[in-house]
Amino acid sequence: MNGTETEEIVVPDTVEELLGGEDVRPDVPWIVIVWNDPINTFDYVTFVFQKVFGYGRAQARKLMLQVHYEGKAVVASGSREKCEADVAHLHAYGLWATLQRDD
Amino acid sequence: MVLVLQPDEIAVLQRIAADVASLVESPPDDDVGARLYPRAYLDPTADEAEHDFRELVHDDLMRKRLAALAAITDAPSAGSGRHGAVEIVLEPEAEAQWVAALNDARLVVGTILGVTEEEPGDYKRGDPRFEHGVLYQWLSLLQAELVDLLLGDIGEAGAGDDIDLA
Repeated sequence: MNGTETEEIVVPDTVEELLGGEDVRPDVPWIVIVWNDPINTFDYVTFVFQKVFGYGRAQARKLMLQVHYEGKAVVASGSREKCEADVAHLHAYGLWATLQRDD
Repeated sequence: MVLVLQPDEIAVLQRIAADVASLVESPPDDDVGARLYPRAYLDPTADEAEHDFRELVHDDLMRKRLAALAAITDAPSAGSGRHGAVEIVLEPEAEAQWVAALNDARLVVGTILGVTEEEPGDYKRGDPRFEHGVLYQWLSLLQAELVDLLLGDIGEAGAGDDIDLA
């Protein structure tokens, strides 16, 4: 015995526990999803993707068709702040957009 | 671009834009309100993040939507062109505002009608939804013409947004 007290080291099970709640891993990207809806037209959605993200026509149309036929498409990714700004921008144009962590 | 509308067309359009503006300003707690201001976080447990998002963007979003709808309600309504037609000159910023405002009008009317991809507002005469269906389809046609012109302006390469709608 060397006289020092034994200290129990608790290893946190998860990152959330380590940081005391919210998961703030900076390296985990967020994604913006646009969902299919029966009101927004093909051309309008293509226009909005070009306008909001600066995508070329081919890329914008490809994403628009993916939204239509698959029900949704990931249209952008990045930090949470950037994705929130993108979602707000898409909402201003009336698109049904959400953001989530890219798990 | 120059839009040419008949006086009764612009009158209908301005009445609808005013109605939509009141819904944008005081969104009802129903499907229309939810369609105008959808959740940003689909995850129902993310209510705190959703709340923070709304705190951050809602007022700005509403203000810009109202400005877009005002571009329609403030447009000239008296005929200046041939046979009393109304000629409305739209600068680039107003073009984007008209397209977004027409879309809000379509979201409201389309949601009330409950349009689906199989039944996009084309109801038979005698159907109680017939008249609103005609209105919805007319708004869609008008918007499609504007979108067609704007897609031509943007071109194949894509362009950044020159007006900050969000």
